[in-house]
Formats: sequence, structure tokens, C-alpha cells
Amino acid sequence: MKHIPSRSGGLKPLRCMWPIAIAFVAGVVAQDRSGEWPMYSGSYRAERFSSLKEITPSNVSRLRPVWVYQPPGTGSLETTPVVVNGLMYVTAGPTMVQALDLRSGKSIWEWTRPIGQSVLNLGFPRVNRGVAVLDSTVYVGTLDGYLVALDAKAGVERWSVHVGENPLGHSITAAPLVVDNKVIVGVSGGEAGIRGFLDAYDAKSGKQLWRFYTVPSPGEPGSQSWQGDSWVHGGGATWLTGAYDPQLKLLYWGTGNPGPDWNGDSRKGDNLYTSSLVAIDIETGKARWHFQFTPHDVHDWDANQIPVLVDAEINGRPRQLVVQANRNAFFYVLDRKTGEYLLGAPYAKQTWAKGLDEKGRPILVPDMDPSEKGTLVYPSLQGSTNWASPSYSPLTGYLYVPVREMGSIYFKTPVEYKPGTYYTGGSEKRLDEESWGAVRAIDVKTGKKVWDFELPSPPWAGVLSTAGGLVFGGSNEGNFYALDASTGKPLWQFQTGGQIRSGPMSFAVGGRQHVAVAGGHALFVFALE
Amino acid sequence: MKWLLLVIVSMVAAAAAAAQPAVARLNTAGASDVAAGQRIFDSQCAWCHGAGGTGGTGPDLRRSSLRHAATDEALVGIVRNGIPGTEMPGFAVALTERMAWQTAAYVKSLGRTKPASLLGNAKRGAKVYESSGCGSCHTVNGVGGISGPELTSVGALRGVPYLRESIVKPAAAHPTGYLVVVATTKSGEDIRGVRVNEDVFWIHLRDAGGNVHALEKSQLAKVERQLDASLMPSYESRLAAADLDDLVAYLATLRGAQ
Repeated sequence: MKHIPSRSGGLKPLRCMWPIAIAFVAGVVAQDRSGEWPMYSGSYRAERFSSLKEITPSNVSRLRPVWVYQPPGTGSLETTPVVVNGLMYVTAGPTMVQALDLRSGKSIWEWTRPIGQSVLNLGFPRVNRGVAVLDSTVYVGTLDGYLVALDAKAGVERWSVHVGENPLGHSITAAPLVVDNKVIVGVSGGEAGIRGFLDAYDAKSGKQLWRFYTVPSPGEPGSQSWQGDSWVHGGGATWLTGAYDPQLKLLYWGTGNPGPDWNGDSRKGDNLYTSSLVAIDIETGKARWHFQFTPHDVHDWDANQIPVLVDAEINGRPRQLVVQANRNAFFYVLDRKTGEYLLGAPYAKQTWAKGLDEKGRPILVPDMDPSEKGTLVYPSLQGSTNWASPSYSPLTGYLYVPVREMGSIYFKTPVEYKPGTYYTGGSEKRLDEESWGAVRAIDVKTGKKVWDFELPSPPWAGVLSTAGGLVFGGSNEGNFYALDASTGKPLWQFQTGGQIRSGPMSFAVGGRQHVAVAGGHALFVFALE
Repeated sequence: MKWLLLVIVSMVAAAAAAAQPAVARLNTAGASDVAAGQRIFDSQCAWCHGAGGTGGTGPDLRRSSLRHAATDEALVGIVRNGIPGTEMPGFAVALTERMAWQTAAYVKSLGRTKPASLLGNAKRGAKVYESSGCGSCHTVNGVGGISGPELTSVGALRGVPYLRESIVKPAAAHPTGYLVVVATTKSGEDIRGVRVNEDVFWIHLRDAGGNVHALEKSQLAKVERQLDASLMPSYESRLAAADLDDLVAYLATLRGAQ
């Protein structure tokens, strides 16, 4: 079995040795993997950082498109391409995987799962955000709730397993994560009254190894945070990809909002482990610790945003950290071994909390819950950031966050559970015209903003940082741009002609660094001319 | 695991029940359903349609027939799913099937209320429209200017209170696509117009003369978005009260290409 290496490791002298070591042990010339983008967030640390440094602030003005790929069908692309073993794997909604040649952008194989109109997608578009790859197999989740294993060279289906009941609202749009011969996959459905879980399957056979429920059943730890039988439809979806620490053998996964979203009357209590970060033992599937960002959330501020693993000094002491810019407008720094809260600060406009107490629990402003007449609250339902990936550069020590500056009027309505329908209990009226966005650089040691690159509207595009000293990002208006990672100064841009709702990534082929991003219904790949 | 099985079995059974067509016959709604629908309407719909469905940025709903809702089923469908290509959003996330049905029942009940008759005379209003020069900026049935919104269907899209306000106090609310922006060049020149497009690096403004300015933001000293402004002047002091009533009455009759 072969582990997919962490790309970010390439920056550290000791880890740089590993390709040489493998070559020596195996007695063959090791394949150079430095140009790969092996998983959704680039590495287990989920930094979305590329160690490639050919493209720099001084030459990025020469960046040009080298090919554009348009998959069959329609709909926006939300994929992050994965590049492994000389192929690029991209996904398109509702459920399609394409393997592309890196130089020409031409399709080598295509796999499509027929998805009928009756397949539910309650609370999210009919999209797919990417694959996971291990050795000769590609893994993809499907809108109708299956995990499918495909041959990496030909797209032939090897096995599929049923993960969740789509008629009840379960769906998979997130890229799975492959860890230690296990495929980890989460589910969507937090607006449909599901009881969320995270699953591990054997990468070879597809056999289920464990299931971690994000909402405990009666008698389990945390169950007292639910009223009556409200836990049954308690939400806590796991709809985005998490991070992993191979030394601690811990998975870090953000959990979704409690159900019903905006009417918490029937679920008094903190509603563990919703709107939380959970550290799960990879072998047992049990939580080692949890940290709840928004206890008893009533604004749909789920905590599925990508957690990023960072090693940095906090108060003069080197720490192993996990950081998250949360949907609730606060940035958090936790010890990733213990879950200890170390630092928290608002990074975007918010009106619901006076601050965080010494344990990181929000100190609430009264009367900010949704109401029948409407309650104006910042941030909006979509939060101060959402699924669009942040990026962390170990070179600058900054977390680059796609920030949404927007408020909403939140409504509460009566709610009843009906299987396969929305179970939300409210809605929002967004303050669109007063909204704006930014890529915001946050110093992870202090939680303070270092710079802003302003955008005309709250973005849905993720961010990539590179060892070349650049930050790449996108806009709803179609711009794909490069910023100076230290200052935020714009250095280059390309108009893709469609809304960018995806995360950029970088790879190398033929010794040249490339940058790719999906905009509208096309994938754009750039290199220096 | 037994409870889990039970839960799943009951969920599947309930899902099958939910698959049966929703009750769409609104005439069977009782007074309590209509009252519940009114409460939902006041909270969720009155923002655009006005309390009591009198109209606002959204149309007046006090009509016996609504042009997108020929049947009860269509009306419930609009409440749930909105009308594609229009400003009407769907409320499937916010409202349960029953609540959507109750809301639709209330909307249908509005069709039985008698709309307040318009104060003005539409025929005279057409003349006011002409003599006031409205057509220099607005188009009706293919004829007119381009710097303001087309008005061919404005009577079907907007309620009377909104039509009146947009003449008297045009800056109070502007339709989508008519945000006023003032761009100041580095040499100090101001360009004022409605924003026809904007991305991170460019902004396109159409000035009152209909000219489009493509402006690269890096060449501008300042971009000011005027959320409470309109290129249209107020006609409050320019029109006699009776003329204003007539003009509103005329605009209310504009319900699509003639």
C-alpha cells in the first residue's frame, strides 16, 4: 500500500528527503510526485498550498491559458481537479468523472452515473466537487448517495456502496478523502432532517469499516444536549472534505447545522456535535475531541468549512494547530491534539455575539434569533465564508479566506418533518446590494487581518497559495486573478466568462507549473508563455 | 440497531405518503387555513406584494386570475418554486407543503376582494406620459428611450403604490440593474451612470445620455455606489396631483406588448 504524500511537506528539508529514500529502498527511480495535486485540498493538511514556485510575482504577468476543457452537459463546475499519475481527474454535476491528459486537456475516459430528476438535492445544487485517488483507483461520491470506485486508467467501475438514503435527503457532493487504505466520505442533507454521519470504507473492497454519527443517540455522550427525540432529525451533515494528521492518526471534519435550521424550538440545548469540529480516530471511528463553534445554531452557520492543519508558535510555544475561519464570522485556533481553544476573533462583520469567552463559546447578543417578522443579523445565512476553500501559506503564516460580507433578515416559520422535504423552519431575505466580498489574509498567530483584496460581491471561489509567493482566487464575476501573497496587490487577471464556484489548484507537467480553475462550465488551465 | 431499522422503515413509509400529490384544491381551505396563509404572507410575501397583496415591487395580487397561475396547482407551485426568469423566488425551503398551500389559499382569497379603483384616468395618463417626456428615457411597446427601465409590462410587474413612488421619489427604490455609480477618474472627472456590469477589475456605466463607459478600476481614483440614488428626477413638483394619478393609472394598464 502506498500513501499519498503531503505536498506541503516539500517545503521542509527533512521531508524533502522522502522521494530519495523511496528510490533507494525500492531500487528503482521513484516517480516524481512533486508536481501532483493528489487530493481535493492538495494535502492532508488541507492547506491548498502548492510547493511549486516557477510562477512568481515577477513573471505572473506572462500567465496564459494553455487549454480549456468543457465537459458535456450544462451547469456550473464546482470541481477541484486532482492530478495523480499523469492524469487529471475532474468532476461535473450531477455525477460525472473525466480523466484528462495533462498536456492537451483531452479526455482519456469518462464515467457517468445516470441521475434522474427524482434524485433529491435539498439545499444545494446538483454538483460534484471532486474525487479521491489511491493507487489505481479513483473514488467519487454520487448525488444519489453512493460511493463508487473506478479504475484510474480506464474509468471502469470496480465497486459501489450505498452510503445514504437519497429519498430521505442524503447525497454526496464532496470529494472523499483516502487515508490508510480507507475511503472517508461525508454526506449532505442538513436541510432535510437527516442524522449526519461520516463513513469509512475499505479502499479495496468497499466494505464499511465504521460510521461516526455526528448526532448522538440517547445514552451516548452529548445526547443530553438534545430535547426529546429531536436528535432523530438533528442534522449535522458532513458535506465537505476534512483534513488528517498522520502522526496523531486523527481526522478533522467539520459538521453541519442542526435541524431544523432556523427554528430551534424543538431542539433546546447545545445540539452536539452539530456546527462543530470533530477529531476522529482513524482506526476506531470514535471522536477523540470536539469543539462546538455555534452551540444551538439557529442561523444555518454550519462548520463544514475546510479545517486547516498548521504548525506555529502561539504565545511563544510551538503548537500543532487546527485553524478554521468559521461560517459564523469568527476565526478559531485550536490545539489539534487536544481540541483546546487557543484563540478566536471575528474576521468579518457580525452582529450576533459580543465575543467569545475563555473557552471559545460565543457570548450572545440578545434577540438575534430568527423571528416571524424577521431579524437582521450579520453574517447572512451563507455565512462569512462557506465551502469555498481557504488557503494557508507556511511561507507567510497567513490564512487566505474568501470572505462574504453580507447580512440577512432571518425568518422563523413553523416546521414539521416530512421525509424527503425541506426541514428548515424559516428563510432569509438577503441584503444583496449592500454586500461585498474579499480575499482576506489573516495572521494565524493573532487572528488579525493583514490585508484585504476586495471583490464586488461575496465570493464562491476558493483560494490557492503557492511557494512562488502568489495567491490565486476567483470571483462571481468570472475573474481569475493572482495576488502578491505578502501584500494582496493584484498582479494578473483573466476573465473566464462565467462565475467561479470552485477552488484553484496547481500542478506541473513537463517541468512547467500550471494553475487550473473551473469558471462557469469550463475548466481553464494556465502556464507561463 | 433495531431502533435504527424502525426509524428507517417509518421514514420510508412516510416518504411514500409524502409522494402522494399535495392537496391543491384551494377552495377546500377553511377560514383558519386562510388566516394562517395571511400570517405567512405578511411575513414572507408582503415585502414585495404589499400587505394585503396590494402590490409593491411585486404585482397586485387582488385579481380573479393571475397570469402565471391559471390553476390552483400552478398557484401552489409558484409559492413553492417561484417563477423562473422573474423576480419571484421560490419558498420551498422556508414553507412546508401545507404552509405553501395555505399561503396560496390566502392569495386566492385576495382575488375575491375588490381592488380599490384607481384614482386617475389611464387615457389622460397616456397624454401626461407623452407631454412629460417619459418616453425620452423609457420604452413602451418598442418606442422610446433606453436610459430607464422598459415599461411595456410594468403594470403587470409592479403594484400601484410602487408605480406612484417611483415617479414621486425615484431614489427610494431602484430596479435590478439600475444602481447608480459615480466613477472618478485620476484626473478628477466624474462619470455618473447606472451600473450595467462590474467585475473585480472593470466597471461599465451607462450615463443619462445612454452612452456606455468601460472603465478599468486601476485607472480610477474612486468608485462610489449610490444605493439611494436614481438617474430619474422626481416628478413630484412637476406634475399636478391629478396628472400624477392619471399617469399612475396609465402605467398600471401596461401589461405586456400590445
